[in-house]
Amino acid sequence: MKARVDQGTCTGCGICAEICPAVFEMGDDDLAKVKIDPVPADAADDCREAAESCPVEAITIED
Amino acid sequence: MHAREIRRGIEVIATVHWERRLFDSLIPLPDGTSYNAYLVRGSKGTALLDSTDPELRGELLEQLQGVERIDYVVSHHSEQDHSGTIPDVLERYPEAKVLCSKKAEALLTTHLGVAADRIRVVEDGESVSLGDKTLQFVYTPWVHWPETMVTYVPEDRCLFSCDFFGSHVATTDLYVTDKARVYEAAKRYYAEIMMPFRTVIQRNLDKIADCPFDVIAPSHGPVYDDPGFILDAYRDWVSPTMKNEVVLPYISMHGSTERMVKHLIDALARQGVTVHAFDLAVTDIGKLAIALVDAATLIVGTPTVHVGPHPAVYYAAHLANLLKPKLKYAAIVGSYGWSSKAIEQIAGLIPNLKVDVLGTVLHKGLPTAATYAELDALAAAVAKAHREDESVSC
Repeated sequence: MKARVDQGTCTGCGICAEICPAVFEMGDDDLAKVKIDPVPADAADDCREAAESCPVEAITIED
Repeated sequence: MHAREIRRGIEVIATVHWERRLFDSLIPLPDGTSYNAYLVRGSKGTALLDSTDPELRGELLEQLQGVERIDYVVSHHSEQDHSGTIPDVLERYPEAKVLCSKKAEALLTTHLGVAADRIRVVEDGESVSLGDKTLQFVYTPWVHWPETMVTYVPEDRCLFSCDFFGSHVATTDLYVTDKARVYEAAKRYYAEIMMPFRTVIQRNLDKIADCPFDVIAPSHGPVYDDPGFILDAYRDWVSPTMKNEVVLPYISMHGSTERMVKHLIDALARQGVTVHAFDLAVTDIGKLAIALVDAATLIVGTPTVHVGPHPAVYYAAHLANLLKPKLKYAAIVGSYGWSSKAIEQIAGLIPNLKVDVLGTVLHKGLPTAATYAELDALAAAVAKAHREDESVSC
């Protein structure tokens, strides 16, 4: 499973990094980054929740 | 309206928009609205929290007559109805600085033309002292823009929540006097602009729980001096639990779909399921949004125009998709003259709704006994799905 954050869409609200810190972190430009690839199995549920919670639908997940 | 004190040294500067009937050229305002700013006077400084819609700027500035100095203008939310008059306030009070969240800085400069050198960004959790009163800022993103924050004044145990907990009500009441009225208005407001960000709002509710407030002072509608009921309501709206309810938006052109819908409403009621039906030709979309807050199932009723659903159904389905309600089940019923692709087209309109389709009943021409039997079966399937789903309270 792979996660991707569209940098043009992300507003940097930080919700994904709060829900799933194992996969998402805030970059120096204040936008969310994926810090691990592939997504570890034990972070998969949180990662999906983070993607579903993104207010601007900037996160895509490829299984 | 005149300025009114809610705590010693804290006044609400409410401007009431009795006439307004539409927000964002989209959202009906059956009861008008109000924009509340608050003036907080400390022993060493004065702050104005938010402002008003530019259309009512004169009323805000009039209520500030006699206020000689404002040190800070807090912008909780950059939207025009709260920050649109900030440029006028800054012009009258040249010493005033705008305090806002990091994200608000860019919005205030690009959307409202606020000069960057008049802005001071405050961090999440930062405090600014006014002497014997303190402004504590808490970032609460997505209620309902990315930059939103609230202010807590610990000395007076007041939470200034801006749009969070707001209600579109034009009123002279300072505090909530009619909870049922404010509940409905606040639910409408939540449904229309907050619901898509449910998960984030749940986190914001947890975050503000650290502030032991007695009063919630929102930027629309009356002040909550007994905030328990609105907090309970928000907890209920954002919780994953759904109710044993069906939302049934429909439209009919020559009566076939209407007959089917009326039969289905009765069949669902017989099964003990509550139905909120809306004829889309005449419906208030705010009422539809309210019904979507709790419902477990969406059933769309549509006739066929050319080969697809009626355009009003497109609109309602698109709106439901945008609002991202909790819904877990869906069904489509309707009629057609010769052929229809309504089902495929409606399904394509609601990708955000992760729903199981419990059935489709599409009939050519007037419904028959067989059609009604299919609708009865659909009603039974809906009731069964609700009963067997732990997240639906029956």
